[in-house]
Amino acid sequence: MKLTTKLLLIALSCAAGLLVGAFFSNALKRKRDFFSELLAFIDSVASDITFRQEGIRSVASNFKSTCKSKLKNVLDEYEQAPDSIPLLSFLPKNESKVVADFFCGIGKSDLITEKAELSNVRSTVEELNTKYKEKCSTRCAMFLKLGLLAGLALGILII
Amino acid sequence: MLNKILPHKIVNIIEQKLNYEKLYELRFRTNRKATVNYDGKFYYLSEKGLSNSLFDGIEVDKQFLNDIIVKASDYSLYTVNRNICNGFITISGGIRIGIAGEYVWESGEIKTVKNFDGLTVRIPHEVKGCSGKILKTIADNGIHSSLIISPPGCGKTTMLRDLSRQISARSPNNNILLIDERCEIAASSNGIPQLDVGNNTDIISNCTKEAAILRGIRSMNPRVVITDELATKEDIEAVYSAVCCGVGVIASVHAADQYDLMNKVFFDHAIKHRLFTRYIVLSDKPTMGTVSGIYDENFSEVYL
Repeated sequence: MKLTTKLLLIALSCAAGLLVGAFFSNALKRKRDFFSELLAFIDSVASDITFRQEGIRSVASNFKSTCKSKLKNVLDEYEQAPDSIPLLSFLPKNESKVVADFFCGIGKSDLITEKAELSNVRSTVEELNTKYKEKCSTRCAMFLKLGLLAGLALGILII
Repeated sequence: MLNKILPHKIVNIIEQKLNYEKLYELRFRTNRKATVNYDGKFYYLSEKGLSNSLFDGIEVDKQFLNDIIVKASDYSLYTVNRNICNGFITISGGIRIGIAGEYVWESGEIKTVKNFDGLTVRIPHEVKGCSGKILKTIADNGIHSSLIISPPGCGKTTMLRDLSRQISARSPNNNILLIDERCEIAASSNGIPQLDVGNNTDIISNCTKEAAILRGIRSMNPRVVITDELATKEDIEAVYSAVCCGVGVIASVHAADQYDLMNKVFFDHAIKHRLFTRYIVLSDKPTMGTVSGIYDENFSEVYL
């Protein structure tokens, strides 16, 4: 096997390893971004309840334009059918249920109960957001490094 | 619009078994049978349409009532909390949902209403030309300040809407200020009246009569003010201030007839000082909107 072929193989396996690392890293980032935006959305709803009172559909519609995460899809679905938000496949079942319950229950209680419920769900989402932020800061770089190293090791084994 | 707030089952019955034009009111009470005011008479709402038998009626539960209110608020109950505290929500098309339930008080103020017990869904109908009989006596030779008297459900709001339309149509000089406190007369949605109240009519909705008259007369320079359901001392005082500005006021009040009106505490002063120069008594016999009498400021009958 020629040296250039060997180097090319190592480079390819490193790139493949990096891609695998990036895949795991992005899965975490996706969850982090989702909960971070959900938290901001909850704050927008809270502010709408206190001040503007335009309604959740209006808040969702305005918020959607600034959304970069999967929350955009959820808000789309909420606008179409507020009663039935499907479980989100990229989240664990219990976390997906928190999101679905939030969207299915939002706007359906009287003012006093709504504020209390929103405050409860906010603290749950904040916990999840913090969890994924911490996971991201410790694991995302690690996944990339591990991926690169695994790719390198695989390349060496192949040649 | 009803299909946006009512379950498919009820909407199907209305669409397939009833004539919407004759449907005036739907009443839902928790764990009891739904009733309907159809062509002026009440029936139980059944799978087959209307029924006089309680046994045939469709029973509704608490969730049914909650769903109607949630849908009526477009899934944002908090946006209509102020209206709920006042006992009603008005949705697009002028459909008014009266609410009975458990009031929550805090520091002497109603904070909200929970555990809805009963809903009355009132469906407005335009009856163009229904005010023809009283129009002459009110609007010929200048505008007479007039009070339309009747018990609930006899067509006062429909009459006021048609008067607004007809007086407005008579001349471009007839600028009307319509004070639609409960959004029932013009049923404005996003600033656009859903029902015909005339070309020369300005609408102030969701505002107390007192505040609307004060601001409206100053800023809109109306010739006539039309408003519904005078009920409080403040309402009468607001009408006084309008009449004193030289503006004709056409309003309505809940009372059985002119004698009943005379017994109303707040109206004593208004009657004595001839605030209104025409009293129109409406009845639902033989049909809704029947003019049973027109009287002048001395309660002498005005013959047409």
